[in-house]
Amino acid sequence: MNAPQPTLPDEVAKRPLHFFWIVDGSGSMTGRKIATLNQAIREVLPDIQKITANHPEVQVWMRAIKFSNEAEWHVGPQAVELENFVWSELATQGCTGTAQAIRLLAGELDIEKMPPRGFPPVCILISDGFCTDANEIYDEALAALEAMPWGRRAVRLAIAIGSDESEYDEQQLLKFVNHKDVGLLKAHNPSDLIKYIKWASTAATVGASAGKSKDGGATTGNVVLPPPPKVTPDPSQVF
Amino acid sequence: MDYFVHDPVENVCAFACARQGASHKMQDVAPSPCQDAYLISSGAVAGRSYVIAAVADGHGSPRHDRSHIGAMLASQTAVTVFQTLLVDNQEQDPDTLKLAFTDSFPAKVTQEWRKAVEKHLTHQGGAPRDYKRYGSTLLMAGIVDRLLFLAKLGDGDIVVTNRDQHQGEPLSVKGNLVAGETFSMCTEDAEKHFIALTMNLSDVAFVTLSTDGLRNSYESSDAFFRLLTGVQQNIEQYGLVRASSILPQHLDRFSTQGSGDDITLVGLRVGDPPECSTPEPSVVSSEPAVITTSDTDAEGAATAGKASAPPSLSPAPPPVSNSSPDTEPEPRTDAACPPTSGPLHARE
Repeated sequence: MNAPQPTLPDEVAKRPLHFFWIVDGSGSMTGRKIATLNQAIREVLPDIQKITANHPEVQVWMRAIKFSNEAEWHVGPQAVELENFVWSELATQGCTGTAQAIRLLAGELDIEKMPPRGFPPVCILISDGFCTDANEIYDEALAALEAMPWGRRAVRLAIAIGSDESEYDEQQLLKFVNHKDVGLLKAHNPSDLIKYIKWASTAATVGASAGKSKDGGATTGNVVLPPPPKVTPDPSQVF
Repeated sequence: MDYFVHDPVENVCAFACARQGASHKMQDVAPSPCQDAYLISSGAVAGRSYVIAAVADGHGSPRHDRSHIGAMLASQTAVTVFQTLLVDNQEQDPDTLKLAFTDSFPAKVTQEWRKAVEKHLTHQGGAPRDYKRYGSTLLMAGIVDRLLFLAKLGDGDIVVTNRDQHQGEPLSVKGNLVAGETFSMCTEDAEKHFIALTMNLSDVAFVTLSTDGLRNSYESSDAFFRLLTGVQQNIEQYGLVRASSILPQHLDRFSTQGSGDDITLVGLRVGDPPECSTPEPSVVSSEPAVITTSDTDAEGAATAGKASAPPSLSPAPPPVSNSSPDTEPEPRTDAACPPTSGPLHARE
């Protein structure tokens, strides 16, 4: 009979990585833009799953905020495990309440709500236009996000949709982005949008889950992202 | 690697285990060495026995590309500074020693660490005073004169278990650092972010120091504490040898299924040793693995550290650490340290 062996409790748990889609559902997104976006997000979900399969210590929890006249949950407020996340068709109507969406996001990144052992959250903003909330309200919403420790540490990227850069406010969207080396991702056509959604979601997930410590107080995040894919202008394929 | 010290000092025995993180081995991320380091040393100063354990966690990101070295320097400096404190206060009463520790340890260890980094930069190249490359946290526990000395900078956990099995974290402070942020030895005013305190040893049964990779493998603090209770109970039931022998496989599993990070766990058990008296040798002779510096050896070759011990330090068993001989060692001439020749390699 073998002698009893020492053992240890088995209560290990994966570390959570909270992922937020923040998606423009305003009237101007109607047609090809929203159809491409809906398709791209559905298609990228298996890619994110494949990546996290190589990181068994990571559990991605996903949610989605949609904004038009107001901001509301498309999937949420309860986060859904990536494996169970389903993207339903996003309908479009109304104005572009980006500031309200950022406020809703900031509320979820409150230190009391986020898990202490979580990876930096990933926040991807996708919009085709100018925020119709007042500039001061937009700036206040961003300030509220930056005031949150989790808001500062999040990987925040933005994708602008439009054939022409006059269709959106580049500087305004850039304020949301905290990876200045990446800048604003500009999708001029459906192919660009699919590429950028795929790159932003997968690169941010891998980067955020690398999980290295750094000295507290530094202003730049330590999440390292690879350069985004190059896109070739195609006048025949613009939105 | 796992290691344990069998050298009852004030009835204290110690174990240690450090494992490379699962995510550091992944193919889609450039493999990086284990960023954790630990050092355990014991001996006597003017008849006062001591045990010191130090654990450090290097930051590991590209900006902190030498943080595995920084972690080794941090653990080593902590031990050296504490030993110096004991030498400098060998005539003093315990209360004076306690005050000297809380008042001066943070500043001294920060200062000496920076000096060690500067010397390493001189020998190995790099911009002067680029401390960030070596960024690391630091945990330290010292036992002398029926006193427990604790110090902490950055993340990682020190848990003290009393004889009534109550577990506490006397150096824990709730803050606004999230998602892997931590204070660091390379932070400009690092000494201000240290927490240092002393406790009476009479009530203490078990002290653990662990890097954040361990706690991050558990969803709740309760689950983390249950793990530490399990480790302690294993020691009581099976003895230190068998209890520590299972740590490598378990820490690997915790990293794979939990945090993904490097994990180091060091423990000090206080009390009559039920199984600690097993005198099984636990070290293998090898080159000294401590990082030292020498004015006469700019290449930093590993010479056997023959620094003579001051008369007030009794000959001590060699310190034990997880640093390996191929991590750019340089000879040290700090006279406050016990002789560094001898076995330092951890047992597999």
